[in-house]
Amino acid sequence: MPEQVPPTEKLPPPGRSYWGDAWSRLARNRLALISLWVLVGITLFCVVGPWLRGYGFNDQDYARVFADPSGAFPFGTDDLGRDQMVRIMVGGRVSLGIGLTATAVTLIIGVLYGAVAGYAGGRLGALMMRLVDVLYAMPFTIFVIMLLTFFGRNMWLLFVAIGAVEWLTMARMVYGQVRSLKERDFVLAARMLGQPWYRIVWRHLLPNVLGVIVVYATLTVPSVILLESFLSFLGLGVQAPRPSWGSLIKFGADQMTTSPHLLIIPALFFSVTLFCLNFLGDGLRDALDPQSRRD
Amino acid sequence: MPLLDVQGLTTRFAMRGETVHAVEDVSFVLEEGEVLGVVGESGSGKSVMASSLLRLLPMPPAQIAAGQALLQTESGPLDLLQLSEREIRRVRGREIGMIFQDPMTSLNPYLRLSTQLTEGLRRHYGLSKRAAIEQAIEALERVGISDAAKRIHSHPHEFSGGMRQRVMIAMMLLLQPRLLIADEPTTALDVTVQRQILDQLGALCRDARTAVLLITHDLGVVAQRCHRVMVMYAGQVMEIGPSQVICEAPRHPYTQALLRARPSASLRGQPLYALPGNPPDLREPPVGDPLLLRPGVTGGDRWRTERPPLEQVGAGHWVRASEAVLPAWEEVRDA
Repeated sequence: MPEQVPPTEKLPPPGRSYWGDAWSRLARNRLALISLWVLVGITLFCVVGPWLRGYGFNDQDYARVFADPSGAFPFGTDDLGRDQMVRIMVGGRVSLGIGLTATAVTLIIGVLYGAVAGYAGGRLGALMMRLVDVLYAMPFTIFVIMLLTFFGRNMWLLFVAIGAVEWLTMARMVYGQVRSLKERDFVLAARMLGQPWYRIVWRHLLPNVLGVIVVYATLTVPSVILLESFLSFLGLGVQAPRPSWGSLIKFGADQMTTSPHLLIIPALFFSVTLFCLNFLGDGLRDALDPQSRRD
Repeated sequence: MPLLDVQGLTTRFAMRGETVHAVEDVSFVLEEGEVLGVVGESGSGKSVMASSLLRLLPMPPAQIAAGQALLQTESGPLDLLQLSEREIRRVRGREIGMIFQDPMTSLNPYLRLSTQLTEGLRRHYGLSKRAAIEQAIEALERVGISDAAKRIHSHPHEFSGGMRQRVMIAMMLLLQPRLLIADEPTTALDVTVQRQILDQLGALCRDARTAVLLITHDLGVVAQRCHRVMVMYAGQVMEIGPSQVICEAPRHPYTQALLRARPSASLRGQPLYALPGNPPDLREPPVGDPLLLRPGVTGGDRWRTERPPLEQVGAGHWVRASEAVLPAWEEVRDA
């Protein structure tokens, strides 16, 4: 720990926010930055693509089933002669959408619940975490089936349902982190300045947990995408003929010996997305930690 | 009217059916601008006593079983132990500040100093961010941090331990409290820095007429910097009085033991006197003189079953009665 900051080191310009700082640190991490742009590219491709493509995701043509990739169909066609490219785009909308929404739900519920339980500690905290245990013990599929039958089948509801299950782990993690952080003297110092508990949780504790949260969130996105394809397989998720990456990969795996492109291309999109999310999450963790600023 | 008048403070912890009697019937007063040292071994209840005043202990398990602590404020005396959570929050920082032992953990590593230093000012005095930052810069300069206008925007890890403790002092004194509780503020620092920090703390508090409750292990600090000293053992006050009197002529055997455990230049090369054993287990409150529970300590039966009273022995000098006889130095050395 340097006693004096050497005069040559540039101090950050005054008044820059925590987030502004974090961004400038992220911008210096090349891998994370490339990942970010690739993700933006894939998202644009999936969101804007279907309008430009000229085919619908369910336009069938039995004259061109299982076509190999060519100029007219860069990603080939499937068993019903549907354009695989537009199906990947539309499937991407579903998978990315579900990944983001469900993760957002996970973040909001899990982080707040875990942080409050951790800070409250004692009997209230224990009670709150026992509730999490109870929900944990509940079979996930039954829970989702219940939700979907009560509230009708709806894609957004599905997103929320998955988020509502995934938050449990996030809550446990944040709970543990907050419990250990709250014993540190800076929390006592904040209390000594007369800060109320909600400000201590929000301003003092959460930034300290943010690194872990971000990494876990980037791991949640792929698991949620996989979960969706599992539910679709059970007939609870997105319904055929609507594609999702999960269902496309599953279908492709069945045709692997005859038309490998039906597996390789969607799998490529899926794995590139996951890689990018992991690199980005790693970069964010470093960027959000002010102590990692050295170069 | 004293600034702080504590009477019969008793704090207990309820743990798995057992009760730990951490602080038993502690009373003292503190005048404006006065420095009161609190000394005693680890586990003698010093920190718990201080945290009880500000109600910083987790309750449960902690409970303040009895006592009152009257603090003079602009709006009249307040009993700290009776205030609601919202009211005590207004006292914390504004009326009573506190600095802690380990400066490495007492600042939030994720927040800039500018944020941490201005929080209290904005909350208690309703200052704008700009005005608060200006005051914070001045405060940093007062504790001897050069180039404060620039460095206020750094994070804690860019400062050394001693610097961080200065930042803590600046942070607490910014709110102009009437009383500052310093819980072993220099224990985690090296000796040269210790001295500088205590000098600075002393000067700043003198100028602002801030009273200080200085919790410490270091009797040298007490002799030089405190007006009065309170010696605690087993959660009870053993002796309280003017620090010069107590350091030169300690009356209670426990105070004598503490003073004999000090290294000094005249006893160079000789082993130090250290009482064997540990402070008593406070799950069963000592009924008599707590010192008699210490191995090697002998003494009459007078205070074996009855709690000895505090007796006045001089001007402002009170000592708890004791017939305990400390083990001889030879016995301690061979133990």
